[in-house]
Amino acid sequence: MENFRYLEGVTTLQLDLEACVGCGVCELVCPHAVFQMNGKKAEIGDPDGCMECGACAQNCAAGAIRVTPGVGCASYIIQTWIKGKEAASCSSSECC
Amino acid sequence: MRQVTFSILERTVLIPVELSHLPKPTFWVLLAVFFLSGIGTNIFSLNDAWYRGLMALTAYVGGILAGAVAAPILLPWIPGRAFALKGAFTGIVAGSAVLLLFKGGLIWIEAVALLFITVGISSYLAMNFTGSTPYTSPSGVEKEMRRAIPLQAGAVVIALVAWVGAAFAG
Ligand code: SF4
Ligand code: SF4
Repeated sequence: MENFRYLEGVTTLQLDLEACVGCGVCELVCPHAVFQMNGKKAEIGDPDGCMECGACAQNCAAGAIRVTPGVGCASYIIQTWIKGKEAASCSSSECC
Repeated sequence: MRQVTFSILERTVLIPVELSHLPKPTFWVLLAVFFLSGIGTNIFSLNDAWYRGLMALTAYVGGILAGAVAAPILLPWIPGRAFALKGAFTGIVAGSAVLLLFKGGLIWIEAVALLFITVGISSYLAMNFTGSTPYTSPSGVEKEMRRAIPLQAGAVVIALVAWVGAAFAG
């Protein structure tokens, strides 16, 4: 995916080093190699590679990762602007 | 670790998904295009509605091809990171082709209008492709949309005003 890079400095991804137990699962599940293990702790090596899919946060048993996952789809985001986050749905008639 | 790919084939099969959203808005676009194209010094001319309407429709179709077909296929080779920008680039190319097609039959205001239609539509549709890729983050998409939508809307409004205005100028 090196030839596909999106906007920089936008991701909501956060890592709590205190909470990290160094299991390495985040490095394993991330489809964009955002995490690296640095000794006994995880490290966000490539924050701009993050697509906010949420896989890392969901799989981190220690709860050390925070990210706001979502659908990166324009029609969906327009819905959230008009109706609010709760009412917007990805599979409604206005979406695909 | 297994990393995702996004090959030209993987992008191409998504094009029908993008196009499948278009029939409903296109119906309204058709109505609006033929109605606006007929307005002129004779109040409304069916002849103009047809001939100018076809030109505007060509610009619209050019925007679709540039934004929903060319942009996904050529994605990694088009300059820029924001998809709206990539779509504007393919839109400029497609819009120029549309102008070449009708060259001789257009006054300059009409040429500006057609170009803005194609670029605005193309940019918007390319931006919609963000929902289909495995690397665009929702935060990034929202950021580019906040900047791009006012510009895309502005381009289309300018295009419509110029298109109708040209009927009185020409
Ligand atoms: S999954 Fe969580 S606990 Fe495990 S290395 Fe990554 S951040 Fe640390
Ligand atoms: S949200 Fe997805 S892309 Fe971002 S770091 Fe986590 S697993 Fe990787």
